[in-house]
Amino acid sequence: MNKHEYLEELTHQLRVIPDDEIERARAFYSKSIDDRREEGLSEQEAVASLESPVEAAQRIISELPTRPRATAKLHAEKTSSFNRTAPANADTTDSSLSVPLLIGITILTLIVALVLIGIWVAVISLLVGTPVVLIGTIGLGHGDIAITLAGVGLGPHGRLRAFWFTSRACCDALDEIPHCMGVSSNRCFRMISASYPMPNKSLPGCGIP
Amino acid sequence: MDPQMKRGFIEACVLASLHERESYGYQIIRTIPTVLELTESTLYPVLKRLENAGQIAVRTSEHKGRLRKYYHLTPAGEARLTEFIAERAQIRDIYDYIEGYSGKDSAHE
Repeated sequence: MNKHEYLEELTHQLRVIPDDEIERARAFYSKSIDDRREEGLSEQEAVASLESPVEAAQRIISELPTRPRATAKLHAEKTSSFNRTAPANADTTDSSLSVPLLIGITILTLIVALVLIGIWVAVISLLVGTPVVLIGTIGLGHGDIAITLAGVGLGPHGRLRAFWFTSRACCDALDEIPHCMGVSSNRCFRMISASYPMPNKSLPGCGIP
Repeated sequence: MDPQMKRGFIEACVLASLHERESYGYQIIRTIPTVLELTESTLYPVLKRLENAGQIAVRTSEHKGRLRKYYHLTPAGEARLTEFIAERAQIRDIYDYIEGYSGKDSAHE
């Protein structure tokens, strides 16, 4: 076995540990072979004076900290097994750590989801409520009513009230251009009110019977 | 020798070998007592462990057209070496205890 073959075999045996560890080990053994050759040994003799790549790799792995060693051991067991049905990335060595981690991630995800849902609800409320406030304020001149409408804008009852006030505003606007439309605002509003009755009593100041 | 004991002695011997002057892997192996059966596979993790502990430091220098790593002792390594030597009396006490209670005297074997 020459130097290149020795280092390749060592790399293969160490494939279960991180790449930087493999590179460090390769460099160390490469220098050791070079030092032996400098002492007058041939390349083959220098390689033969070392432990076999398998023994060297086993000793290097056995000296690693617990976690990488456990991972390496598991990987070695997997590759030596004939049963290939298990997923290649199923690493159970960290199960004691991964369970709390998964619980933590799940809780965090739920919190983030709830916050996002809250933001969306607020945005939708504003989108629905703002036009009602504007129409109510401009068209009817009743800001307090409009604000009330905005507050109930999401419910079915609130939507009906919004429609009702919007219609009232539109009909009032007809007063400004009566000759163009040929329909008075009161008549317009009576037509709409007949189809969509106001859920509550008539409001003061709106001219509604 | 018991591997656990050997491991502790190897670390101390590596530190001692670097006390006077810096050295490199193969040279360290040749200077360590043969009873410890030090090989590259044993030395490599020991050097890494001592380096991580800050007890030795490494520098890379060119030697005959190639790079070679030279290890040298740090103040932390000096302190560990002093500590190890100071433990000699404690180790002797332990041996005395074992000999006394086992009825075996190493001097007679």
